[in-house]
Parts: sequence; structure tokens; C-alpha cells
Amino acid sequence: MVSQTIRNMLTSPGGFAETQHGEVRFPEISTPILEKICQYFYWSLQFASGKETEFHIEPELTLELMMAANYLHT
Amino acid sequence: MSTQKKRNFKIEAFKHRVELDPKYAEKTWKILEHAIQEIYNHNASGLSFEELYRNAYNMVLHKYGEKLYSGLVTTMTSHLKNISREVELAQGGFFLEELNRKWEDHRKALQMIRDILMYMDRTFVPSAQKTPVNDLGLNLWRDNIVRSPKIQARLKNTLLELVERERTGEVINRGLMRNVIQMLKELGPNVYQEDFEKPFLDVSADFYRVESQKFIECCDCGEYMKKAERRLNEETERVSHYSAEASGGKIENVVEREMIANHMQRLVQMENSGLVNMLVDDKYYDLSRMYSLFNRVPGGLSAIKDVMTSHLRETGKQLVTDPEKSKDPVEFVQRLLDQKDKYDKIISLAFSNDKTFQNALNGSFEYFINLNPRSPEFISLFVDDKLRKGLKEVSEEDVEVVLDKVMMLFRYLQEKDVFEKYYKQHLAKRLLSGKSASDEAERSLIVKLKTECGYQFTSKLEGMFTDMRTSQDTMQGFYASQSSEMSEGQPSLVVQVLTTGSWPTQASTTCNLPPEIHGVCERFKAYYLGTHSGRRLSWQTSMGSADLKAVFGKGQKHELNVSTYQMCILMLFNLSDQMSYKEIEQATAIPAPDLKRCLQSLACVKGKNVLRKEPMSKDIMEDDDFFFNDRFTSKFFKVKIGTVAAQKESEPEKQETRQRVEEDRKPQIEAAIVRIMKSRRVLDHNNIVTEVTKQLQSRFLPNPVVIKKRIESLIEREFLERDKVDRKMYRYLA
Repeated sequence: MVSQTIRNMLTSPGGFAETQHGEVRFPEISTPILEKICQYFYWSLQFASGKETEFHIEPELTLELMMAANYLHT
Repeated sequence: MSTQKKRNFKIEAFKHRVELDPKYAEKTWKILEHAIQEIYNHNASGLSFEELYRNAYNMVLHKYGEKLYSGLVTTMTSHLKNISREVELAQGGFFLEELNRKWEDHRKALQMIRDILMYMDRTFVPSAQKTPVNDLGLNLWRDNIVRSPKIQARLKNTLLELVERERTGEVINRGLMRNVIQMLKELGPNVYQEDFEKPFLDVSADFYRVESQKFIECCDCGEYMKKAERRLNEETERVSHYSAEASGGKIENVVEREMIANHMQRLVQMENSGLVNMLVDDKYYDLSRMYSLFNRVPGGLSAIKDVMTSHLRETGKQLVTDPEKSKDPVEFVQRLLDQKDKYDKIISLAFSNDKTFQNALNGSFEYFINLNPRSPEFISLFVDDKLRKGLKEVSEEDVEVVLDKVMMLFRYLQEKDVFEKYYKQHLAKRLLSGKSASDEAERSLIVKLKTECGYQFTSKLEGMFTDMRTSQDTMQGFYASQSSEMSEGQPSLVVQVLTTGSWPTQASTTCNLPPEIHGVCERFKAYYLGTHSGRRLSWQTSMGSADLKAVFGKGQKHELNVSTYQMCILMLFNLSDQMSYKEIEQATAIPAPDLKRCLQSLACVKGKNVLRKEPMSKDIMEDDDFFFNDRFTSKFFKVKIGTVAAQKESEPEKQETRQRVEEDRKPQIEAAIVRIMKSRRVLDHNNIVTEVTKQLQSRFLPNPVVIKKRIESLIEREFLERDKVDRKMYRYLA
């Protein structure tokens, strides 16, 4: 998985709420950013399997994306 | 070239502080603390990972990392203190189980805590140089549980007690044992070593010290070895079951030291069952066990080797010096070979062909074979015996095997030149009397000697073979040229022309040949000298043989196979039926000792007495009379009259051979001295002696006294001179 944080959320032993429901909520990340993040995850998977394309980031999203990346350990 | 101006970017901090709710940190921490407690209480399902993670993330981001970290430490510590009390309360056998269960819980909780505090682990911990959460959890567990005063000793004793119980045959819960040891290992190598490994090794040492003492009192050596081996395997298996492989080597060392190294000498020398008995009884399994066990401890193999060597030397010495046993040379050598085979087998089967053992074996053989000065002679006699008759029925490979074995014994000899001397004599007799069973085998042995000692050693032996071959050609040529003059009824002559020097020198004692023979001999002489100019022929009548056709009283015909001397004597009885000793001696001119021996074999051996002697007695006297024995009978048409077979030398003969050998050595020693001095120019006495000994080692072991004499002789003949200042130094005079 690309994000360490999300991985831990879903795999940590003991059964947190996320593991039980199979659902993670990110109240502090806004929708457009989360969407971009999901796009990035998808792109990253393809990149890893050998499809080398560019990932376009709109400049106005940059700062927030970086903060989210830090949070998600991506 | 343009100088680029450096433009520095600088990011400045916010000028105004970001104000935050001062209670924020406190509130967030409460949430987290609560979560940690819930986790320990197996109540995590109600918690949201994201929320906790976000809280921890924010705390660190807002520089409350320190608070978060110390909060974690105190919370965890107080939890572990509770656990510790619970574990302490566990009774007896449940202690370990309780401890193990709590450990499992703690590990799981620790992982969850680490996951939610991951952001702190990632950013705050490295920058503040703190211990990462996982290690912190383990350290706290170690300090509060494993090393807590009430648990530490109890844990250790419980573990050791379990080991002890298993050693005495009880079945214990190995899975639990493994888990607990796994825990100690996870807490760091230091904890594992101090809290388990060291006491474990100490206790094991005590245990095995007592046990080995008990065993050695009541068991014989083989039995003890079996027990030690079993214990060793048990311990190896035990540590692998406990997943404590790291201690495998150490515990093996303990067992080895206590059970083997400390009792090594006693085991080896144990009466009635020690090493010597094992060797004598060929106990390959016991020996092999002993080898593999002793191989594990320092000095173990050399203990075995020492005892084996001294035993070998002892028995070998008895074998070699016992006058009873050295009566029959063939048996004597056979016994040596058997001994060697026996130990070869032991070394290959039980001692895994260890080189040092082979060397020890070789050394011992070399030692005791040379204790008997007659060994070279006996070995040569053994070969003689084998080549005369022994090898007729066996295959070529077997011949090779026997010869190889003989060569091995030969290698042990120090006085190889003595062997050469005897071998030459025996070979000459074999060749001249046509008794050699296999030309192939003879040659094969010569080749072996050649590879062992070099060309020089065998050149004369090879010369003997060449002489035999050329003699055949010469005889063919002789008869071809004489065919016209040869008449029926004349004796046929077979001459072997031998090169002087290649053959063992024998005083050329001639005898008067009967006139019939003499004529043929003269003709051969004329023929030979006619084809080869500048040569001299002398007749070695002492080495020949003859076939005679004789008709006895009742008209029965026999063919008598006799030596030349005997032939000369018998031919006299063609002229008269009775002769006195004196007459025979006069007529034949055979040297007295030989004559007596011949007459004895002609007249005194039952079944072969073609002559009759008066008075009847065992020994030949100078005033005896001899008659042609008319009443001679034999089942066989061919009668072989005892020829001079190779036999053990009598005492004076031995002395003589010895003297000849000593004589032959002189020039060799001198040559060696001159060779050495020629290259060294100046050398002191001791060095000369060692050098000479080294050079001649392959042939014989020169006596230092003899070397000194040779040096003196060389000084006299002005090859060397003594140094004017230092009398110990010698100088080579070119």
C-alpha cells in the first residue's frame, strides 16, 4: 500500500473501529485533496508496474497535498 | 567567465505565535491515555484509529511531543507494574504460563500503540533522540517484569528446574519453554545471556560433572562413550527445541568439557576397556565414537594418538625383537603386514583416515621395524618366498597388492642399502636357478623400487635382467654356430654371462669340471671371446645347476636336478662305485664347506639319498666313504636334490654381509661429504653430520662416528682441511 498510515489503520492488530467496519474517515482532509490523493494512489500503482506517465498537480493544491502526504506517510 | 551572484532564499518563521487552546494538549492526551488503557483492556474495537492517530499527529505537530512521549512512558510503566503484580500472584506451574500470556498481550498492545503513535515514532523520536516506541515497550517490560526483584530469580529457577526435569527423563511443556526463551531473546542478547544462558550453562556444568563422575565409576569405556554421545545429542536437540540455537555451541562445549575433556586420560587408559583394548579387539564402532567425541575437545585426538603410538611401539617391539618369532622370516614379515593392515583398517574405518594418525602409525612402524637389524634381510626373504612360489595361483592385481605392501614396509627401513644387498643376492639366486615364478612380478617390484629410491638404486638389478636376456641370445648364437660339431650324447650347456658389478660378488671359487663338461665350456669360451673381444670369462660354478640322467640298480631311470657342485661329485661315480671324502675333494677341488654341504644333501636326505655314506651319520666327516646307492628309489621320475635355496643367513654370513655393507657405505658417505663441502666450502662438524645424514636418508642412516672417520680420511687425502683458528670448522680444498 502506498500510504503507511492507511495501511496501519487497516491492519493493526486488536481490531480498531476501522478494521472492523472496513471504513476510514478523514475529517481533516478536504474532498478535492482526497480525490487527488486517490488519483495519486492509482497512478502510483501503475507507475510501480512499469507505466511511466507524468502525474499532474495543480499548483493551488500543492501545499495542502504536501500536508496530507505527511499525515498519510505517503 | 561571469561570477554568479548567489541569491539566498530564506524562509522566516511566523512573526506572530499561533495561539492554541492551552488546554488542548491536556485534552488530547487524556483521549490518548484513555485509548491506551482500553487497548490493554482488550477494548480497542470502540476506538477509531484515525482519530487517535490524528490526535497524536497534532500533538507532535504542535510541539507537544515531549509530553506525549513521557505520558506514554508513565502510562505504560504503571500498566506493567500491575501486570507484574498479577504475574507474581500466579502459583507454581502457572507462573510461566501467566507470564507468557501477559507477554503475548503486551506485545500485541505494544504494536497497536506503536501504530497509533507512528507519527511520533517517525518524527519526534529521532530528532529528540529517544528510544523508539517498540524498544521502549520492551525495555519497560524488561525492567518492570523480567528484572523485577520478585520475578527475576523465580523465572530463572523455574526455567532451570524445567531443564533439569527434562534431563532426568520427564516430559515438559517445550512450547512454553520456547516461548519464554523467545521472549528473553527479544528483550536483547544481554537479557538472554544474563537471565538464562549463563545460569543454564553453569547448572549444566554441575549436572554433567556429577553425572560423568557417576558414569565413569560404574561404566566401561565404550559404555561411557555411548552415554556421553547420547547426552551430547540430547543437548543439541534441546537447544534447538528451545529455539536457543545461539547457546548450542556453548552447551556442547560444557558437555564436552565435563564429560570428555576432564576424563580424557582416564577413559583412554581405562583397564580392560580403554583404547588399547579397543585396538586389540578391533572395536571399530567404539573407536569411531571415541574419535568423533575426542575430536571435539582440544588435545583429545593427541591423547588417543599418544596411547595408540605407545601401544603400537610396545607390541611392535615385542613382535620384532622376540627371538622365537623371528625364526621364520616369512612369517615375521607376514605378521608385520597383518599388524599394518589391522591398523590401516582401524584408521580408515574409525579415525576417518586422519592424516596425523597415519603419520603416527608410520612413525611407530619405522621405529620398531628398525629395532631388529635383520628386518631388511627378512623383508627380502619374504619377497623371495613370494616370488618363488607364492604368487603362482593369485591374480595379477593380488600380486600388486602384496608387492605394494612390501614396498610400504621397505619405506620404513632405515637401512635400505642392506635390503638392496640381500635383495640382489636373492634375486641372483632366483634368476640363475630359474625359480622366479613371474617375470612380470619381478619387474613390477623393480619399477616400484625405482620410483621409491631412484634410478641408481635399481640400475644393477635391471642390469641383472639384461644379462639374463642377452645370455639367451648368446646361447642361441652359440648353438647355431656349433650345430655341425655337436654330436649326440654330449651334454648341453646353458651359460649365463653375467656382468661383473651388477651381480652380487662372490669369491670366484672354481672347481674341476668333469672332462665332458669342460670340453663344451671351452668351446663356448672360444665362441664368446670370438664374438666379443676384450672380455674375460670366469666360471662361477657355485651358482649353476645341472640335470643328470641316472640309471639305478633295478634299471629304473631318474632325472636328477642338482647343483653344479653336486653334478661334479656324481659324475665321479660314473668311474667307480666307491670314493672316500679325500678322493672326492681332490678330484673336484670344491671348497670344503660347500663340498660338505653337497655331500650331505646327496647322502643324508631321506628319499633323495643317491649316495650311501659309511659310517651312517648325520654329519660329513673327513674320513667318510661314499658309495653309489644302487637301491635308490623314488616315486618321481624327476628328483630334485636340495639346491642352495635362499635361507636365513647364518651368524658368520650375516657378519660378513654386514661388513660388506659397511664397506660399501664408506664411499657413499665420502661422496656425500665432498658434495656438501664443494657447495658450502666451509662448514662445522655438526652441520656436516646433519647434512650427510639428510642426503643419505633415503638409503641408510649413517653413523656419526663413521662420518667422523670419513672426514678424517678425507683430511688425510687432502680433500678437506681443518680451519687454523677454529678447529671445529672444515675447509674444502679444491
